Amino acid sequence: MKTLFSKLAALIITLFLVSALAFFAFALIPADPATTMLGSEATPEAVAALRAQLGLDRPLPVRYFEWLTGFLRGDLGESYLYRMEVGQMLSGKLAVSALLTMLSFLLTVALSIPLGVLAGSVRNRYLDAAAVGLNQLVMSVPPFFLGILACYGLGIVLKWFTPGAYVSPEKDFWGCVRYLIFPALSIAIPRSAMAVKLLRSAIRDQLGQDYVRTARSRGASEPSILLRQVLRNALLPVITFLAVSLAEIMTMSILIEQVFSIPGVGQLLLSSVSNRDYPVVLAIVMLLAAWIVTIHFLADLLSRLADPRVRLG
Amino acid sequence: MKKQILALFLAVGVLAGLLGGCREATPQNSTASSTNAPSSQAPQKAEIAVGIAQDLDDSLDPYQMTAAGTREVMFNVFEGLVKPDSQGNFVPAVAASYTVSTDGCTYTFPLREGVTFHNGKECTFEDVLYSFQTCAAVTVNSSVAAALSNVADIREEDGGVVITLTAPDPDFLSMAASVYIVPKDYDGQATAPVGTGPFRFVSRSIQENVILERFDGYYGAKPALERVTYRIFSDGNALFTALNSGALDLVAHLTVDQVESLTNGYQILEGTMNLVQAMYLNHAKEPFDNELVRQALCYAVDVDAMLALTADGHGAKVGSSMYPAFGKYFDPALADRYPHDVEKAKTLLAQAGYPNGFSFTLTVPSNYAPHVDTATVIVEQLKEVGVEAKLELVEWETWLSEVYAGRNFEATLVGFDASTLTASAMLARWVTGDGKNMIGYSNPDYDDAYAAARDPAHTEEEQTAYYRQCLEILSDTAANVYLQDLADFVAINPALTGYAFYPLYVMDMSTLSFQ
Repeated sequence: MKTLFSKLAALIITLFLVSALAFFAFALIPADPATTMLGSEATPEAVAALRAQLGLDRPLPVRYFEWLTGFLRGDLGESYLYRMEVGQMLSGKLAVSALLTMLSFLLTVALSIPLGVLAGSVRNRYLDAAAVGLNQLVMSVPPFFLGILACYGLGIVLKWFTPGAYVSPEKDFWGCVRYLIFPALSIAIPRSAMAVKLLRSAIRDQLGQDYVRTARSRGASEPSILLRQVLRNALLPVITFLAVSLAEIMTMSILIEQVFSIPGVGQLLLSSVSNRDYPVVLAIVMLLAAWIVTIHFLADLLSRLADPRVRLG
Repeated sequence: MKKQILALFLAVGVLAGLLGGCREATPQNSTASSTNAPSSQAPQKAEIAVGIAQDLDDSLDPYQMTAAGTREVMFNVFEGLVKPDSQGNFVPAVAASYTVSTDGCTYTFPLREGVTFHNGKECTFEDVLYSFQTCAAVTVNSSVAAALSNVADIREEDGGVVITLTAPDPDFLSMAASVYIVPKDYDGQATAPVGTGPFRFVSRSIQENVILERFDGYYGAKPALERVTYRIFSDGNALFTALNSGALDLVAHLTVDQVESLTNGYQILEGTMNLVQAMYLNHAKEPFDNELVRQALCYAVDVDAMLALTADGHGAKVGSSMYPAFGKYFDPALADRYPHDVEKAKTLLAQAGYPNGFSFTLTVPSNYAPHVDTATVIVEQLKEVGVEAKLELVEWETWLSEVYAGRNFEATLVGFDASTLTASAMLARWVTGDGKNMIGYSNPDYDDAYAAARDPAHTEEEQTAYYRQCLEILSDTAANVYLQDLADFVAINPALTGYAFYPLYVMDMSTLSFQ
């Protein structure tokens, strides 16, 4: 129990540090919202007036403290550019990114477990070498590159989908899912290659264990040994890996959104950074940080629960 | 044996899963091919999708919006008492007509009958008064604010608006076109704008789309299109892919390279961007304070060769701070004022005390490829005369704060456009001490000529002549290394007709229709 509390405390401190870092890092990069918003028609007077209107003329620590107290009350502030509540802006975007993350995750699981078992059970030396080689190759392809290939190959050439013809889930849920399958595959394929590698070696490891020999000597069929006993043991490290993947998939979708023009959190983050729209950037950074930290925390918890050797406090 | 069976079983399972995923995607297929071959199919609804490269990410309030991309879209929603047409003339809009008194101080705008706002309210004098007062108080456009501070009185007379100025202003009509008329007692403009234009604003979904619909209560000719969806693509490649796949009906501001790699059979229209691309030199920094050096750079640069290399020869040479669509002021002779002449450039550099050339940093915003391409060619051309330019690419936002507002640069390469349809929108910035004079240009002759052009005592012809004199001075003193007005390519669904280029950065949806 004590470890649990100290881990929770560490989680909160991490988030606090992330917020401070994100806030003050922006003070270091050039350009500010006022010059960005006014563009090349700006006069020094107009810039000064807009800075005052946005409250940018006040000292940084004061602004940070204001933001922090607002954040703790659940008030994310107002976007400098859109003049909208950040919370309101984010809610729609989150749904899209969450959908993409979930799809990518489901595809990762759906691809990695059967393929991993397949790779683990192949006995032919050449086939195995070929599978390992292919796996290694797929593993090292970055998702955004796969995404570009998918847009061109599956989109423009094969016309399985129309790149850029995204529909929002409120308008047409299944249409949206259909569109998101392709970016989700771009994320899931390299991710599942890693899981396959892990699962293959875990299965190999288990197949050499004494209990497998015992089972074989009792005359149990090979598929039943593999699925009933070996897989159960081999899946443990893979489950932790997949859980942590949930955090990484979210961050990967930022790049993928750009490639497939999906208006999710990632696109909003990138544009808000370049527009210096701090309230939006901070809200998204905190959201991503919270997601990553929480997933890691839960994965840790999960592995403790699943494996009695890793006892909880 | 059993292993093989298991393997086979698993492989089939995976394949089936994958194919299932693909089958799910098939319905998308049919829509893709139908949008891909638009000419083969009669459109059922007059709806189009327009691809734009930047989100309407500022306030949509007509007096607060700043981004050119936002103004380009909202041109369809808002109107002033008068509005520009594609020829650059001002035509009556909310006003039925206009007259100007002989002393140039009184403008009379009889209001058009039956003008209603998108929210159903009728447009009255009160709304016009409110619009002018609000605009004067809050506008972020400094030239409009300056023009409105000159308004002495706005009053109602015989169902019309009479505006009296303290001093005559030859640009007042174009400023009046910038004062969009909005309903009084409505405070949702920032997110749900309401105007009198041919299209009404329906919705904005951040970084996804902006939707406009035909306004059926419009007083003028009704647009043929019922609905226009502007789809936002913050990534240029994604925008191009979407265009090429047929997901979009219209995309403007394409480059030559993009046009050449387009394979979907769309019609390509060529216009100009209506901006002045130049290598802008900081006169506060050595050696650009020396006129001979600036002239030497002008001779050293070969604009024709640059156009041939970067844009297959598309684009128009400018020679001074005016673009060709402004026919009244543009002087084509200035475009050839400094023919490419390496020897002359070297001689001038030697006279200026730089026989071995010099080196400087050329800061260029990285977000806009044509400027970067041009800069790369210029850097090579300058090497021929011994001038070493170091290309430094910066983010657009950094450029705005460091180079534009901070004036912390030696030379930069960008394009300036006109925010209103006036000569002063291009030329006011080079007056000594002007807030927008980023290069610190200071020339008493120029200031005098500009003041004379603005002097209401002169006739319109005289004013035009003075503006042209301003342009000549800029060219003679080589204020900047003037390059070109970039070619603007529009790719359009071949079933659509009626696209009109404006001398301003706007896209008029009301003239488009399906054949």
